[in-house]
Amino acid sequence: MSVMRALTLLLVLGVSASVAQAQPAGSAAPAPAAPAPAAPAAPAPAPMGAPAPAGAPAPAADPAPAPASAPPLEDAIKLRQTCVAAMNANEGFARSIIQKAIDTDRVSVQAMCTDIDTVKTHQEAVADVEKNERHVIGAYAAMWVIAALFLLYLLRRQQRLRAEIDQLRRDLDAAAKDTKDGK
Amino acid sequence: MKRQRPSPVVLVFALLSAVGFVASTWLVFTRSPLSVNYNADGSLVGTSLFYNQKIFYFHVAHAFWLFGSVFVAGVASIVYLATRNARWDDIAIASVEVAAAYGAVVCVTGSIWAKAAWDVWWNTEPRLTMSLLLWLILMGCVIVRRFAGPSADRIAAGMAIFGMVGVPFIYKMVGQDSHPAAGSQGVVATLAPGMRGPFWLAVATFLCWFIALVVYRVQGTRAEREVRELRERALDLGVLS
Repeated sequence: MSVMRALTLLLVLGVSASVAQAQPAGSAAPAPAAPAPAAPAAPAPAPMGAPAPAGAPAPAADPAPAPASAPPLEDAIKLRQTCVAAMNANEGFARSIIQKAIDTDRVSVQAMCTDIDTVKTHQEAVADVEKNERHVIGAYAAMWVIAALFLLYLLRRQQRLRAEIDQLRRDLDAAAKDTKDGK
Repeated sequence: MKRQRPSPVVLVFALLSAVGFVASTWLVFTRSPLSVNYNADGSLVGTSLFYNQKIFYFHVAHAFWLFGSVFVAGVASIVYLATRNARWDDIAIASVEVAAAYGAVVCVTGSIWAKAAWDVWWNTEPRLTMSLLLWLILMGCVIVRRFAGPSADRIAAGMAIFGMVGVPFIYKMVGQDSHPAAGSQGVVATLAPGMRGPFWLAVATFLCWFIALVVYRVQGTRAEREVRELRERALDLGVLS
């Protein structure tokens, strides 16, 4: 039952989409309740924002460009009834139709996921360039490390020199004292 | 052992540089804008540096005083060779050592910035190659001074002069390669208003740091001379063999 419910839902959605496609794009005019006899497949083009005059036949020489795949409403209902009847009559046919719908949906979902991944990758790359903390922190750390090493080098060298100076002075004082004492 | 205290000049300039470093870092990361450039039609210029431009403030400030210290070392070496006054030799060797440290900062931070902006750690364009050569000359000067024996002071002085001569060539090469242009139309002269304060504060900070290090190092070279004199006396008296 659930399969049939899903199928019916799909068909209703498909019919709704077909009807929506049959509307002239960008027109704010409401769809006429009764289509003009000369052009029953599609409503006549109306001026933007103005409703079509009631009962006025559309010029036959200038039919509205309707999508080739969009059937009229009555035809769509009839097609739907025919399709439902055929699917109810043949279980294999019903399954193949459902499988086709699922496959189509999977492909579109996969394409959508690919798009999302691409957009996400690009957004991450932009964010990485805009807020590149890694290299800035690395550069500042390198500066600190070099400055600290140089300072340490200077301090240790100075300490070693002071120690050597003190030692030499002590040795010289001792040598001078020994000389004075006549040793 | 008597502990030698740094001179008041060293302490004052070290304190100034510490304060300047904290202040300039705070300004760089909280006040200076991101480096984003737009075309006339409002679209983003692909070479916009964004956050990694923060390296500029200390990289270029160090480069300024690298050139400054090499110039000081070169002039002091010329005067030393002309007068043989040891004071000038002290200033020259101290400036060379500080220049070598500043040069290391410039090369390393520049390499990291190159990786961030150009996606390469190094390339062999003239400016980078000449900068590396200058740093190698400075390191050579330090090594010669330490290991070359009695004539080390004169050889090191000659090398320092050689390094100083190279600085204008490096400066002239700015703008002829991947680096932005220098001079009156250069990147420093045309900095955005929000970037000027932090940058010039960083330049002043590293000038203070340079002075503190040079003065402290001059004290060290005087101690080295004292050690040499004491050794000679000790040899004369037979204390050292």
